[in-house]
Amino acid sequence: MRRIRSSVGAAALLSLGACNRHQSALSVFGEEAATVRHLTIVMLIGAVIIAAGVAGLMIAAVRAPEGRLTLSGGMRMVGWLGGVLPVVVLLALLLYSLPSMRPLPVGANDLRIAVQGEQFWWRVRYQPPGSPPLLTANEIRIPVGRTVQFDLTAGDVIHSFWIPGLAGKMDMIPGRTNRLVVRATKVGVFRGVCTEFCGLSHALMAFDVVAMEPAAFDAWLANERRPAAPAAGTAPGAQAFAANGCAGCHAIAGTPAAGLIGPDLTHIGSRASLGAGTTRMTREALVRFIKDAPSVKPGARMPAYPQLSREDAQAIAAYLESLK
Amino acid sequence: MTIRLTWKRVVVTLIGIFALGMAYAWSGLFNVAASSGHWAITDWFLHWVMRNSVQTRAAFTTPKEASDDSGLVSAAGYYASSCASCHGAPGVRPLPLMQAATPPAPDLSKNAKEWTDRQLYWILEHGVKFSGMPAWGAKDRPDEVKRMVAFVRRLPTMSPQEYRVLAGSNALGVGAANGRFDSCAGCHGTDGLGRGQGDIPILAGQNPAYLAAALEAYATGKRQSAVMGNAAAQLTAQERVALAQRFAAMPGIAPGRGGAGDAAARQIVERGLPDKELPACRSCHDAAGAKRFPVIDGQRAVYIAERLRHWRGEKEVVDARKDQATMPVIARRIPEDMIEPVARYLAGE
Repeated sequence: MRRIRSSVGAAALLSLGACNRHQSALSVFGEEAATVRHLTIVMLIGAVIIAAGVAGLMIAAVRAPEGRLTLSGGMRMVGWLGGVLPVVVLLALLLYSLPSMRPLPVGANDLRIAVQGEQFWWRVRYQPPGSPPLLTANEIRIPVGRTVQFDLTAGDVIHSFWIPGLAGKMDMIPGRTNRLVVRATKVGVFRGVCTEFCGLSHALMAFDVVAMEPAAFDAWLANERRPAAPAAGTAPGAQAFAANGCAGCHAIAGTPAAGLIGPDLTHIGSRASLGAGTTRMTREALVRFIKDAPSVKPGARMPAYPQLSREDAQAIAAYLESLK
Repeated sequence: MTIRLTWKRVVVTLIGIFALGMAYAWSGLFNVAASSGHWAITDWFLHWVMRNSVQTRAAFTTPKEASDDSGLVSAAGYYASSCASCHGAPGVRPLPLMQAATPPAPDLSKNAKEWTDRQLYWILEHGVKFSGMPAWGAKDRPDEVKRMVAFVRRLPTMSPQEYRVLAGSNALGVGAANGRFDSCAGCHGTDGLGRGQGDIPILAGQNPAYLAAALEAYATGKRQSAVMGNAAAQLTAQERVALAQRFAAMPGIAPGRGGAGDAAARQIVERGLPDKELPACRSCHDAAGAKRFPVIDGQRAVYIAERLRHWRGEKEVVDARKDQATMPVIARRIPEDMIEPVARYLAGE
C-alpha cells in the first residue's frame, strides 16, 4: 500500500513538469489554442458526467433485486442508453466542434513566416507584405492581435511544429508546405518544440516564441534588418570567425559571411537560447558549442573543431554574443 | 600386476603432474637464456605452431588485395628506420645485437618468399607472440601495411642500389644529426616535394602551424600512422616546430594553385553543395591562404583522395559512433564518386 502511495506521488510529481507558462496547452496566448482548450474543457466536463452516469447505473444494477428487469425492458434500456444516446451525444459534439476546425481567415496583407525544420534547428524567414524577406533562425517573434500565417516545411526529414500555447501541432514534411494560421492574444515569452521524432537530438529541438505588441514587433523587425554590430569585421572575434571558415555554413548580414547551410547568426546575441533551445545563451555555452557541437547536441550536423584554439573559440563566442 | 584405473587415481596423478610442473617452474631450473637457443625439436614445434596460426588466420582475416606497390618509398623509409636493424636489408647486415635474440629475426631476402601476400599482411599487422616481432604501430592504417607487404615482397630480388634509392637518406642510418631533417627527407625529399610519390604529401609551402600540429598529433597517436608516428615520437617539441618551419619555407604547394577542369569538382571546391550540407572547400582552404588551415592547392591528388576516404571511415559503423571532427564529417558529405575529381581539381592535375 505504501509503495503504491509513493509511486502515485512520484507520478503526480512528474506531471508537475507540465505546469509552466512557457510550454503548455493550458497556458494559452493564441486564438487557436484558446479554442482547443475550450473544447478540451467541454469534453472533460461531458466525460465526467457520462462516467458518473455509467458508474451510477452499475451500482444500481448490482444492488437491484433479482427479476427487477425483464428481458425486453433490458433490451429497451440498452437500445436507448447504448445506441440512441451515444449517437445523439457524438453528433452534438461533432456539430459543436466543427466550427473550431475552420482555420482563421488570412489575407494577402498578413505577415507570413516560413519555417523550415532542419536536423535539429529551425530556419525562419519573415515575409512581411510589401517588403523583402528576412532570414533568421531558432526564434520566432509574432505581433499580438495580427493574423500570422506559418508556411511549414522541412529540409531533411519529417519534423512537427508545435507551439502549445498558440495553436495545435502541424507536421513539417520535406517537399510540401503546410499552412498554419495563428493570432496571438497575449504578450510574453513562450516556447515551441519539434513533436515528430527526427533523429538523435529530437528532444533538443525547440525554440523561443516571443509575442510582442505590434509597434514593438515592427521596431524589432526593422532592427533585425540592420547588420547587428557596428564593430563587425574589426573585432578579433570577427577575424577568428573568418579565419576558421565559419562562413562556409553561417551567414552574418553586413559581413562577407553568407553561408546558408547552418543557422543565420546575424542577431544571435539577442536570442535567449543557444542551439535551438538547448542551453541558455552564455559565453561558456557558446565556447563549448563552437568547439564541440555534437557533444552538446548528439547528431548535430555541425562538426566538432578539436583543432580550434581555446583563444579563437573564446574570441568567436564574444563576437557572437555582441551580435544583438 | 595390473593397476586399476579409478577416478580417484586419475585425479591424484593429474594433480601430482601439475604440482611437479609448478615446482620445476618455481625452482628456476628452466633456462630462459636467449644465448642458449632452443632444442631443435622445440624450435621445430614453435615454428610449426606459428606457421599454422599465420596460415589459418591470414586466410580468414586479411583483405583479398593485401599488397599495394604504389608507395614503395615510404615503405622503404620505414623499413630502413624500423625493420632493418633486425631483418637486415639489401647490402645491410642486421645488427649483431639483434641477431643474438632467440629466435633471431629471419633474413627477409630469403624468408619473404615463403609467405603469401596475405600472410605477410597478417604478420605485419599483428606481429608474432614470443618472437619479438611487434604488431603494426598504428590502428586503422591498412594502406601502410599493404605498401610494406609490397616492399617486403620485393626484398629477395632487390639490389643494394635499388634499396638505397628507395629508402633515400634513411638507408644511411642517419637522422639524429642535422635536426633529424635527413630522416624526414628520406621520404619527403630534401626539397619537401615528396619524391614524386602519391602517398607522400608535399610539405614544401605548407602552413607551418599545421605541420607542427600534425607532427604533434602523430607523436601522441591522435593521428594514426606507424610510419609518421615512429618518426614524430623521436622529436622534441622544438625539433617539431623547427622542422615544420624549415619545410614550410620551401617553394612548393601554394594557395590558389589548384583548380582546373571538371565543373562538378569546381562546384564542390568553390561553392560546395548546400543541399547536401557540404560547405565549399574554399571556405577554409581559401585561395589566399589567409586562414588557419592546411594548404591543399597543388597537393598530390592520390594523397588528398586517400585522406578523404580515410576520414569517411567504414560504411558499416552507425552514425552515432562515427568521428564527429571537422574533416570526417565533411568528407562523408562529399559524394563518393566526386572524391577523385575533387582531389584532382585541387591538385591541379
